Amino acid sequence: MKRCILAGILFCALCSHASAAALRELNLEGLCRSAGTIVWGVCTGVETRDEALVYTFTAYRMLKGAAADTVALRMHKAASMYARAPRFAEGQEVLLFLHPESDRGYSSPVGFGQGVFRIASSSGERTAVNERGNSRLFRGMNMDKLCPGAAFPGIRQCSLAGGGALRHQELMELIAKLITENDKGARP
Amino acid sequence: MKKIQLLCLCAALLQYAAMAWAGGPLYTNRDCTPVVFPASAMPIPYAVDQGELGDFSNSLAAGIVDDCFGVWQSVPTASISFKNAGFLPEDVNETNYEPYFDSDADRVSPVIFDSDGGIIDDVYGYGASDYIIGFSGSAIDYDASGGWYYTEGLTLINGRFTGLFTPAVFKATFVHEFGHFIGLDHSQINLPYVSDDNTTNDMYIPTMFPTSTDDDTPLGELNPDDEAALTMLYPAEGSDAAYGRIRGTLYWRSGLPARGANIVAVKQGDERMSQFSSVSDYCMQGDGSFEMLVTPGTYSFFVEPVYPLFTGGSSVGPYADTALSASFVFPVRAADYEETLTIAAGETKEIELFARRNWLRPVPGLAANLLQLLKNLGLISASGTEL
Repeated sequence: MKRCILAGILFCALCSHASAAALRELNLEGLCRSAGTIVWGVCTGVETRDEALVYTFTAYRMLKGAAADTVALRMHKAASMYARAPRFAEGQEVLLFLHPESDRGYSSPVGFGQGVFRIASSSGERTAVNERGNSRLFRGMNMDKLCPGAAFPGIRQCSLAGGGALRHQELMELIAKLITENDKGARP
Repeated sequence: MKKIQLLCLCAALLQYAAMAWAGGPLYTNRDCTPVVFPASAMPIPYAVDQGELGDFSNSLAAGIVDDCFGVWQSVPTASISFKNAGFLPEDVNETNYEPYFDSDADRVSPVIFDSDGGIIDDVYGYGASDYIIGFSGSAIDYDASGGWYYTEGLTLINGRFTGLFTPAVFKATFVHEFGHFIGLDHSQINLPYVSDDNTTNDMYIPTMFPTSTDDDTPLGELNPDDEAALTMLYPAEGSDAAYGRIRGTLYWRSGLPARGANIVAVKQGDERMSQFSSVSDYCMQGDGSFEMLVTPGTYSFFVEPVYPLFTGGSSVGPYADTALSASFVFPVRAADYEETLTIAAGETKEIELFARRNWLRPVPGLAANLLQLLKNLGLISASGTEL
């Protein structure tokens, strides 16, 4: 009898899964604050190494964290399987918010699917949508201050609608702004 | 330490047919039988951490765990049972947790109290314990005669949330998670009651609803859809005396099968509480079929799209993995049906339903945002098809 874990099925291209992890909700400020690395890139490798699942991403742009051409996301294999953490396939273009690595070198997307924005083309636009459809992504944020005047119209619309796809470029510009403001706030 | 062996992807592709349906199993075999703990595994043993859980004493935390398993065990029409097999050999923390993440031959499911979040931070990255309340899931094995089945679970609870959540809210959270532990998927019933700033109607939301609501406390007790779904997975002898069965197929008007829509049967006379659901083409056979157990009575039906935000870890049914999955790319138009069915205990009845496509929401994207905004402003109807 061959033993295997749910992970084998989860890797199947046909697979779907339901959450076995209970998570707190995060808004975009929380994602930016908690992430040690924010990267826009494409998954170029998926492998297992001992107890870890290692995803390699070619970085198009690093929004937070040390500059790098590639980012390796090392996830604890069993913990990811039991909690049904997000998984990635080669070729997927994503905007990722990743926790700083633990002492053992493990990390994961912040808030699991909340910190994974899949980039897709829709009606001629490049859009970014997280696992929750960007629902409540701007909850509790001061949108008047963040998006003054006519700035970030798509963000405003998404905020009023309570979710929905975001223009990828607009989202990245807002993230960069949030990080800059966080950095200013952190200075003595 | 026994190593967890990953199944070869090729073997998974050959053997796998693991999908889910609303108010039903998380995974199924190729022949559409659900992946469950086998009868020989009953009572399913679990062992509890020796340590405290944040602000909760060990006895309080262990009592919550016993209560959560007890909620599922108390369903009279289901043949599932659990046994508290005592304590784990130690207080589990970030220095000694690894062996418990390997399923092993003893088939005893560890329940770990991560008192200060240290284990979660170690396995998911620094700061992860700020957001991960806990998890519960089960390992799986394969038998040539019976197919896939669960062997042993693992539960981990983050003690950092004991300062935020009452024991009742913890219970509601982990009754839901233990539903996944034993193989249940999410259920989308009474969606309008969720986060509507009205706590009095939260009692009508099933435990296996994908998200929290205004007051999660009532979700610590099972609703009819939860009990029916559990009975489908683990039918007790004589459960036929309590349920009838509805089998059906959802088609497009063209006659092609419609996949990934939520079908809800509503009992006349108890419309808010007695609702049962299934997702069309739940076994991914491409035939649009659905199936549910219902308590005896007369039922009307409605069909609705899976809510667009229920993807990935919050998915409902097998076609909701991402925003580009079939439930969302080809959503049905929400509709009520005139047909009713009267079901007696032990009876099986069949029904064919026909769905219309919602052409105003062909592909998730920026246009959908504008549509949602117009709905929020009341300028178009909730179905999004009328101005």
